Amino acid sequence: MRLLIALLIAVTACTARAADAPVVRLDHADFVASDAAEPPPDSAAWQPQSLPDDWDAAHTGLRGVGWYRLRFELTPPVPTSPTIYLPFLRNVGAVYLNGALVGSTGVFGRVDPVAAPVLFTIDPGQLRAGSNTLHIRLWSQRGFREAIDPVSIGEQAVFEAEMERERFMHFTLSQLAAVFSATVSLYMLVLWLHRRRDEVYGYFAAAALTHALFLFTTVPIGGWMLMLGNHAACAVFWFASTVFLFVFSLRFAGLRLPRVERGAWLFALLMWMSFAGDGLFPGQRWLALAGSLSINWLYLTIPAASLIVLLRAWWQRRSSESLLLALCAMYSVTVLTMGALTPPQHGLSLGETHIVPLFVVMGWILMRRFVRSLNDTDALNVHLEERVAERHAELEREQGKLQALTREQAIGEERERIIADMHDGLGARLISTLGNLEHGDATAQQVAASLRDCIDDLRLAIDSLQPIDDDLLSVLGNLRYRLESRLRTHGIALDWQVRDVPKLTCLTPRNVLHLLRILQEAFTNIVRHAQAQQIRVATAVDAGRVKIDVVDDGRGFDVDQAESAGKAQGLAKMRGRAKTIGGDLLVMPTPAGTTLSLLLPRG
Amino acid sequence: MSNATVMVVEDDPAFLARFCRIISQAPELSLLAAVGDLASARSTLQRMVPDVLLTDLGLPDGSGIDLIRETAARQPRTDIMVVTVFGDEEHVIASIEAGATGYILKDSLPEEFVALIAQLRAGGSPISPIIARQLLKRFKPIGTTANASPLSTANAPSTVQPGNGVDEAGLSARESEVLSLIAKGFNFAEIARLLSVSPHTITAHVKKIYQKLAVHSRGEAVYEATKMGLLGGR
Repeated sequence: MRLLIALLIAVTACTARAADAPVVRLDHADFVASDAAEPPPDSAAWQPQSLPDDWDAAHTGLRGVGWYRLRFELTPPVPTSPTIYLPFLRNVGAVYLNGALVGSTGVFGRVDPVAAPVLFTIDPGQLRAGSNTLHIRLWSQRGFREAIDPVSIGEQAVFEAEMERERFMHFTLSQLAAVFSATVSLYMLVLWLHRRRDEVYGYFAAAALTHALFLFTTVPIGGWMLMLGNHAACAVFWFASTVFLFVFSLRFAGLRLPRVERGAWLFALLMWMSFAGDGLFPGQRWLALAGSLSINWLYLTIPAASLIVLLRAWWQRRSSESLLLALCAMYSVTVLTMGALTPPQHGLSLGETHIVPLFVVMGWILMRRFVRSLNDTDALNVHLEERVAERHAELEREQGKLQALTREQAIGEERERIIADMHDGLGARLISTLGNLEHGDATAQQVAASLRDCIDDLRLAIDSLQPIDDDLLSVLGNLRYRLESRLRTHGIALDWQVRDVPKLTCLTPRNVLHLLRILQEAFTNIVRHAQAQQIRVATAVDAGRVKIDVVDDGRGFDVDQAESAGKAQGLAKMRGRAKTIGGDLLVMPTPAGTTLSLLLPRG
Repeated sequence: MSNATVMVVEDDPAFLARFCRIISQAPELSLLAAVGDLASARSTLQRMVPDVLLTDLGLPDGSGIDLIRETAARQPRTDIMVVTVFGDEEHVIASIEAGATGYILKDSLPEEFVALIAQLRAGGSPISPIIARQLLKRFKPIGTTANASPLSTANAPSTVQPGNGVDEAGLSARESEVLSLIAKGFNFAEIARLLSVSPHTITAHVKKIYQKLAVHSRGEAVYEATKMGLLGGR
């Protein structure tokens, strides 16, 4: 793009020039190194010198002031508004026409590294038809790539277009680069402020910012010329920018080398001091050493190091990002090297905008990462939703499995319980009855009684499986239904005094069977031993527990004596069952009979 | 009351023999017929009307429920008892729905057996605490949903008298109370005393409850309503 603009301008400039009046172009001069304030006389040691003249090449080591003498013949007509055009001159020059000062490009003794094209308008009377002499005084501080391009004299209008072109290449492009750099810097800075851990952006922002400042200090922007020509400040920004870029490269390559970074800063500091030292600390001898170094090449060290780091990153990652960054660094170093190799002269100066491709690539990288992270987020959301749905389904499956397993386990436990119960209770009783019958030591009545017991047992077992919703009265009601006719045949009346009690969660089928067995045993004992007329069954809530009372009006018995005599095996069994449920069994003699209390836990 | 004639339908020969023996040994009962399948039962019932029909449910050529339904429709004077096994209250309820007014356990002791028939003949309806609980559960959902269905009133037979303050679809408060007390083990006499009414009233309540259950089961619409009610009660 930049090349295209340059080309376009070059073409228009050429066409404009071709159509205009003749121009005297002076590319042959005489040179003499002289501190003279006025043009030296012809007797001085003038040496022929062609233009452009690069001091580093033609006058190596020369410092101070040099004079150029340019003689030319002006064929009439003399231009109506004659102009001397200096497309390129560094550091500071003063122009004398026929011995009289025309003007100077700057202040002698103050470095102006920019080398802007200069147009001096001269009084038509100053320019003679025929032979004229032009003297140019050029000041060099110390090897600041001092040079001068051929000088042209002609009609002002002719040079205005050319100067516009030169100014565009020297200033406008630099201004654009500066603004671009500042924009990139701002963008990166905001990004870094929001993502402090991404140091690459921070260093890049710093590099862009310092580079923008560097450009601002080298380019006159409008009337703001404060920093212009302050080459010490301008060099600070330049070196800082290169070091920041170097650290950025390290971070981008995933390297964290504090020593190398400190070394780079120190090196840059030394470079800067050697570069700007004279201006900052005039007369300091110790700077002479640094000043004697050929900084033309040394200042390439840090950009070259950045290039190496980026090439290494590309070598390791083989990513398009690292490749593009490495290419940009390579472009930067190449442009700087070419700038150092080619003599300084007018025309397009790529050196000042060498970093622009890097900014473009960095912008592209950011955009790409941004788009990618957006896409990733979208994909992640979709993925997450899928995962959630998947997990949900999985959980449901697991839960279903668990439920099935729990159910199976419950069924299994219940089956085991029923089998064990039938085996120990009904089974044992049937076997003993069968045994008695087979050995003939049982009467038909005894067998019948035994079988009735078996049936009772069976009924209890079945009743224990009824859903009773933790309702104790339901259990008791059913027991009464089962047993009452039997009690009646023994002449025992039931006094049913049950009252509503809280729900008992302990009433699992297993515990219900224990409860039924306890009560059945209690009734059986009363029928067999107590000679009772009446049994009262009552329920109550007692100290947070639910109490079932079975009270008979029989003859009663001494509980302790019965237990110590080992006769109350049934009673011990009942106590055991009560304990299994988590309850207590109390047997107390009363004035008229016995009270059996079963205390059940509420839980 | 003279001897009650009993007809037994039971496919298991051993049980059939046992029932026959119990009935013939009971002075207040006389055995009218004993058959082993549905077809024979139907043809027998064409020819004679027993006071009491004892029937098993699982017959080789059909369900005893059908026999109960047919007999209940054709012979309102016959008391129908279903013969069942322990813990099979679901079938008892189904039988009552079909028109049975009592049930008897297959392995009841002879004295229980005779006593139950006597109770039935005396106008009572045998009921156990477990059946009472099941009935309470069964009626709860119906009472709330079947009311809304016009079909239930359209199909309600004339035997049920609506308008006496009792909703024919659900239980009255008193009926619920009676069932609840039965479920807690109280007998009819005790309940009568607790509620300060005569024992006959309690018997009548239970009979009414049985009838309501039977009314529910009649007709497709009511059956559907019942199903809906059961579903709605979940």
